[in-house]
Amino acid sequence: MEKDPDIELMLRFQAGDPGAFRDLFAKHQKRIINFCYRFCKTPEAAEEMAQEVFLRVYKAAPRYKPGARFSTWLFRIATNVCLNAARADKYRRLTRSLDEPTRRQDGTAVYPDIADPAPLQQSVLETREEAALIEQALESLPQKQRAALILRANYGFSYADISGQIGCSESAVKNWIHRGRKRLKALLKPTFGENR
Amino acid sequence: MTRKCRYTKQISPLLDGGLPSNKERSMRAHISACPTCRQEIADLQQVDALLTMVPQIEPSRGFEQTFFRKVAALEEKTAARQRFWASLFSGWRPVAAAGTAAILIGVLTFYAGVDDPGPGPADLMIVEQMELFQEYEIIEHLDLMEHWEEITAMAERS
Repeated sequence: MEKDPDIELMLRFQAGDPGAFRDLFAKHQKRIINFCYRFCKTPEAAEEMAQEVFLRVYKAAPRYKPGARFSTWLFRIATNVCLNAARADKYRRLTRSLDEPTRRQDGTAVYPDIADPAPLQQSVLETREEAALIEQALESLPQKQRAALILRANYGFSYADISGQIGCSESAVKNWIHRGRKRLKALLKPTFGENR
Repeated sequence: MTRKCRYTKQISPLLDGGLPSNKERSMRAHISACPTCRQEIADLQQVDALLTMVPQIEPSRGFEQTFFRKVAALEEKTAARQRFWASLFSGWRPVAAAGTAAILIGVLTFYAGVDDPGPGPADLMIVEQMELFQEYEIIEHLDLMEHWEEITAMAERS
């Protein structure tokens, strides 16, 4: 296995270096928040779930044994938190009108299905509605199917990694991803048509 | 309308590098001759591309601060627990605990060590009426028979 710098950081943290944990946190926070955001209704909920993920990492440090890549392990925890939260109906998305913004606790507007517009990265998608359409299509997938597809398409994990992260067989992962893509194709092709 | 092809199911794992190498080779050979599968590849690649285009959210300004506050609270809770256990073994508490344990052990030893008084007058009455009592099975269930062996020995001696 290739040397994983994140494993080195985790081992340094385990040995008592809190700065190593801060580095890991800084490096992965955005990816984890965005992963969680695919399973909840607001950026606040996504951040809360992401904090739960990192707290679990923090607590697990004394027992940590390097096995798989650090990111594979981290996303296993994140998947667990997201699927549990979804099962508990804790952070389910609200159904909202596309034009109606919600408000953060500090009063700033949050547009539906897209985070606070201020830090929004320039997207290749032409309109907010297009992005919302993709998010809604993704949201229509069953939880595990959605998790498998996101872990593959957005984070590049292998079937073997994903099967460990979700806790199922590789053939189930293969099947979910196949079915997920087919469903998204059916939902999105009428709008997005041919390749851009 | 595109025609159906039974191999389109293999397109998704092909894109993910999830086919064994021999299957992958035969799929690639098939695709070069199958417009349906070529279209399926294009469609599924577009789905993946759309997924990566969804806007990302940035962590809020307070995210890191809130998280490390939670970490500090966790550390404080752990430290408080450790202090509680440490306090149990410091100052007057260990002396009190040892004293309580000593008293308990003494009481238990006292009661465990009380001599068994042995057969009493009721038992002697049974000895005298041994033959009669042996006729009644119920006697086997009486507490009196606690000393049955001694009683029978006495009966034999008498």
